Amino acid sequence: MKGWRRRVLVLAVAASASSLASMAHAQTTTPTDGKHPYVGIGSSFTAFHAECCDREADGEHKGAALVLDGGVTLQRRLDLGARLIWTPAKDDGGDTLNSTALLVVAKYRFWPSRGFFVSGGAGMAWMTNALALIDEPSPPARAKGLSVELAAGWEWRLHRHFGIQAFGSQHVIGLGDLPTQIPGESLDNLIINYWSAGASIVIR
Amino acid sequence: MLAATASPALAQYRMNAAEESGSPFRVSPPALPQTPATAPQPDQLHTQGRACEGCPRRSVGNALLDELLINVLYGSINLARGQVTARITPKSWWNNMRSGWEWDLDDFTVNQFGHPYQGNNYFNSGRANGLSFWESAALTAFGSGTWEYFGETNRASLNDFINTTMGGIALGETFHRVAWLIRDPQATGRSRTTRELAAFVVDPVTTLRRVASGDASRISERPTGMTPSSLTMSGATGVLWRGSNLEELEASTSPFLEINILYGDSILRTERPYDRFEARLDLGGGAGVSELGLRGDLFSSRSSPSGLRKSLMQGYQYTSNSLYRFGGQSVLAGVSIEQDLGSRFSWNASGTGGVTVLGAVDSLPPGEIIAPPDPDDSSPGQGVSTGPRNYDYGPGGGFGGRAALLFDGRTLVAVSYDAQHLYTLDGVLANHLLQRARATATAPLRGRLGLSVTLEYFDRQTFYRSPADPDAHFHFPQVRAALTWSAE
Repeated sequence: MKGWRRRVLVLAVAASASSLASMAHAQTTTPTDGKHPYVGIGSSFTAFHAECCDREADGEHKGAALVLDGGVTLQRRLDLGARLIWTPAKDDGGDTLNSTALLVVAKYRFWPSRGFFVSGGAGMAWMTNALALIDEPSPPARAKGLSVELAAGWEWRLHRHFGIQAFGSQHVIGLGDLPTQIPGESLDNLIINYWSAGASIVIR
Repeated sequence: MLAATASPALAQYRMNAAEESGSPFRVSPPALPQTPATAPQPDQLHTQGRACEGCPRRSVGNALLDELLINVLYGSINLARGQVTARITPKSWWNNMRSGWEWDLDDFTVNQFGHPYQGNNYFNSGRANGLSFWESAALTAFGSGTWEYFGETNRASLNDFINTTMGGIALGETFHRVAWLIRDPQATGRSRTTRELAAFVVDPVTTLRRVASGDASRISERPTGMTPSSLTMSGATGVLWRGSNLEELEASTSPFLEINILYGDSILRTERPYDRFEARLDLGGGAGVSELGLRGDLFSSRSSPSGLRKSLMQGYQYTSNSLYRFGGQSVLAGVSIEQDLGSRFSWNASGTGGVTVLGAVDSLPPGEIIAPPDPDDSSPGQGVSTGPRNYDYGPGGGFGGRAALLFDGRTLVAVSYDAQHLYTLDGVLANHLLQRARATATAPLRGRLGLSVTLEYFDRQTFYRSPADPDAHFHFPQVRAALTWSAE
């Protein structure tokens, strides 16, 4: 893992630790009423795994991901917005395996006075060198597909307009059938699953 | 063609006509809150956990409990049928979380109607317990996610998650509102029981929760927002002739029944999602259910003085005909206009365009003319479809428009056009373009009856992504002759 990625990861862990320390204060804080925008920036530690047809990639790839959020708090329990998840990675052979997911996301707080939330989203995703994930030789190419994410976490409100959240998520990129170098042949149904744990700063 | 909309004058006319006619579909005037002397005050309502006098008690805990029971019920039914996928254990939960998502291979009807129906139950576990539309939408996603991970031993399916969630929201709110058209919470005795039972057929989750809470026998108002500002229902039954330009597909004639519902007025701003929606159900005509289409307003502007209105809608579509099957979940932007043409005539038109989050269409392998049928399940009852799955999944877009001329609120002539594009992600590598045009002329007979003739034209083009494969292009005409009725 490159140094800067390690630093991002350390920052994410530090943010989680910091937010744990403020739990007692934040759990009694009620989110602001009324419609208002929010933005968030965070990072996660991510492991991902690819499979398709009768092939399954060996092992998992790991890396740090950047998570950007923006949207509107529609009511005390509900946020609706967009999320960008950028996961840069390289495999052992040096192939770039970057992926970007752009999702429409809804976040729901079952109990507004508590920090627990669940979120779900769907949107588009792009991935570089997806075929390299399953050791299929191919020229560098970007594939696009559908992405779905489910997440759960806890948000601590440190201030009326400022909070920190820790989350765990699973998102998937379904790239479908990708043509190989052999004319007329394709690898069917390539799917990449991502498991993430991370933290982010939220400004409302 | 979905039912036509009404201008301000026409809306008033409809309301008056409904009042005078004693129609079974008559609706209460929307702006006349009936507050009996004994009605609870806001403080009392708050104490009871009700947002309004006729609203259910709000309980997030009960909503989650109902959702859990729904999952247990579906799992138990699968277990009773001997399906191996129902034999869940903590180990299978962990495996599903570790393995992640996949595309599943279930047949078209299960994925495009069965899963949305299951999602409708999750959605109404929220609505039945006093949660708002958006809260219930989140609950639907939660129910869908928990079912995919923990309800079956096989891996979570991302197409199921989207279809259950988005389709469940669309079907759920529609069924919830239709059930409230049937219920009369001020009725007593046999009439009350009959209506509650009839509503159970449409929205079982809400009815069961009402029975459990005692609301099923409580005298109250309708919940706020469950009385439409206007309601138009129309139907047509007759015969359908389908032509063909293919030797493999013979022309045929078959009976059909078409039902349209237009719920809510197109004049008012949408206060709550689905205050206005259009629904169409077609039975027969070459398939058991040949069409189920829903479009509900999520947000909309109030009609401008010129009659122009803008809206953001959610769409659900299930289509099965001789040329293709299509199912999809979409979000659409639309504009509509309606104006009076004298005292009794009016016209309206609308245009929509938007994104299909996930759509499904029959696979058409290169060189094939007719899409292969779903395979027979070689292990019936085992709950794991082994494929092949003969339809493609992917996102896409769509657009369309319609226009109608009305006389006394009844459609005389209507034309419509819809196009749907789908980019295959999983299936035969292709772009699909499905189009259909429709024109209907109706001659009024006595009362609410009429005779109609409908001309339809279906067109399917498949553009393979491999340059070596020539594009496929098929089309056929369809003619319907029907006896129609309408009620307002």
